Amino acid sequence: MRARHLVLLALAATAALAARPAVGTAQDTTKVTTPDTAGAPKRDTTAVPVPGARDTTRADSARGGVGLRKHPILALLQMTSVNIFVNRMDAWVLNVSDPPPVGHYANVTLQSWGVNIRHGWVWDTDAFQVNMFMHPFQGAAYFRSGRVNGLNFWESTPLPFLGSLEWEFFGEKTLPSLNDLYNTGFGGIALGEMTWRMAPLIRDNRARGLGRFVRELLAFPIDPTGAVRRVLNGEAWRSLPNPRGSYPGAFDWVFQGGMQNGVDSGATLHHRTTAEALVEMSYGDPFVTPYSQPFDVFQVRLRAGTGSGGNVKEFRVTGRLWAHELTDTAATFRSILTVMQKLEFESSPAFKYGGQSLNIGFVSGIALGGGWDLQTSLYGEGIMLGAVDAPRSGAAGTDRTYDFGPGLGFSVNASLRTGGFQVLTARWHGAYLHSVSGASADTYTQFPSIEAAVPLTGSFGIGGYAGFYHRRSSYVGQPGESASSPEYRVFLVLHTHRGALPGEPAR
Amino acid sequence: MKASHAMWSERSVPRALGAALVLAALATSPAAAQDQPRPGFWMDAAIGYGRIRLTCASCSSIVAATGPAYTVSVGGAPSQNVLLGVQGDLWQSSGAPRQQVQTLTALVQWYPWPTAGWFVRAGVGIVRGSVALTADTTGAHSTQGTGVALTIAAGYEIAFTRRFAVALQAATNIAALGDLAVGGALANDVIAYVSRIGVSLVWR
Repeated sequence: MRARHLVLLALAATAALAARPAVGTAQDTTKVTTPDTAGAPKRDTTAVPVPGARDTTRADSARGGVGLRKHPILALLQMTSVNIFVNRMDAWVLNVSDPPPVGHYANVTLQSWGVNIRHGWVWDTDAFQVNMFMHPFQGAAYFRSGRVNGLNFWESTPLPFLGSLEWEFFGEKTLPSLNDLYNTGFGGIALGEMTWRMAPLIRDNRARGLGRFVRELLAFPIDPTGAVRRVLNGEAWRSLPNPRGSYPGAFDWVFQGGMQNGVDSGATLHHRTTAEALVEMSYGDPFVTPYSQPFDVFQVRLRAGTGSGGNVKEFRVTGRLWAHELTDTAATFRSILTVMQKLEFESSPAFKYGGQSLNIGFVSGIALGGGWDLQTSLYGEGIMLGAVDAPRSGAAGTDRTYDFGPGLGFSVNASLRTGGFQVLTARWHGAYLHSVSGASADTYTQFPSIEAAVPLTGSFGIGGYAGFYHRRSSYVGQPGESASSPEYRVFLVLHTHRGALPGEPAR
Repeated sequence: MKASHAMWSERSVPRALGAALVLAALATSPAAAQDQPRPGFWMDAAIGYGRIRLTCASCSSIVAATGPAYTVSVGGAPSQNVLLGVQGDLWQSSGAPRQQVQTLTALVQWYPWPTAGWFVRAGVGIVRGSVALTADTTGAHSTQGTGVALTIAAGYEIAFTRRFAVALQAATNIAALGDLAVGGALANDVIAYVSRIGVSLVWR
């Protein structure tokens, strides 16, 4: 009973922390005196949205990343509060449990803490979706604990790792899982920064009535801790200035809906047809948004569908960490040296592949005239931790049907566009993974694909896609094996584009 | 005699580290710590003492050994309280059987309070390890593996001049080496933990 009281106190502390005005939110910008870029004190009372803003440093400044007071202790406390909240939700509300002998894994004790510390790390046997897709979302909450308390991108990067360490050793009775540390940590950085930048674009502090309510509601899934904070401190309904410079200068959406035909990985290898929907969002444009800080340009791709193997078929977040323009910004041909972080998840009935990677390469663009342009990218990948399935992978008798391991890879993309509409896109992704958990295997994957669409109007069109996944695995002491899986899609597509197009002079 | 000499050698490193820690604490002043210029190039070199602990899914016992540890890091600073860089680590056991763990990691170092010397460091990279494991009843066997490594560290930096500092650091390398052949058996999911403390010289 006493322990429950202590936890209630902790929850109260969570609420109190959440109720603090976020450093650098719109509320703060009317109160805090901050130095401007020239160093002179400037009272910021004119915080309004700046459509077409290119200086995302100002956006970060307005939201707490630069020049405002940092609260690392509060960030750590809020990170811990997330763990306490999730642990108590699991124990008291959801009452979740694992099969014996673990049982109710959230009912941690001093004894379970001791066991976890003494034993150390293991590789867990959770399902692919749990490890490669869901854990990064928990990491994002840790990461935003730093951002909301004034820390910049790099200063916030330790938080998803620290939060994951705390959770793995003290938040659950199961032994600490090394793959969770990787996926929560690196995935949390990518998703955390992405959602941190997206939330102010969805919310509108000047909107009223139903429109305001819907915007706050839509922002909840991508920034739940921020949503709770806004409700508790009244920002969710008060009329306030919006953060400055939230708009990155270019913003694109692609929506696809259609049917996919793919081969099953089962023994019969028969084809299945499923309904599929795809959303791709591009925040910023490498040719429009000059590099100022990490994730000032990023892309999110989500594909969902019917059929077996879970509804989320593909999820990919790629965020620019650093860039250097190698050509003149006014030239017809431009090339940008780029370092990028990538979170990747692909799960179909035929194959599973996922991972966290750092990429270095070139993004290039050429204006072809008449509103046409060609964009290409070429990246080498350092895969910090990848996961791939194969018949001999994983751990027998568990949900683990895949191996974990580091590796190397490459990706090549080329896209021919007219007025921002992607007419022809070719992609090729290759990876090598050296397994450190599961089968003693080295796995090579290749995934070329091509996509073509015909614009029926300026933004609406019809298209088709063909992809071919190939995997080859070599094992220690056993013969190797390989598998191939083609997939095809037909779809209707809608493009929306806002901002300057590549090839146009930078503003 | 030989055994006692080996014991003295093993204990002397932690003693030297403790003495360095006390001397550094006496020599420093708060003002020096506040003058640290962090932007730009930096590098550090560290010497310390570490302990390896090996676990695996099919091992009959957890194996441990101790020995010296060496670290070199270089990089740049994107902001006043963040460093980015690469780090090379080498740990090797003092006694037989000879064990060695080498890691190369990309790292981030964060100073939560810009005017203070406290920092945390985290890195990810690759590891190569030659380790001794007991996976069956025939005793310990040496084996080698390559895998993925995480480095987590915390420390305190004491600035003596604007360009030179001494840092005291505690760190753990978590090195996943995968399945390793041990004698006639296979040790599954081998993980090596190299925990170390050390003193580093920092140049900026």
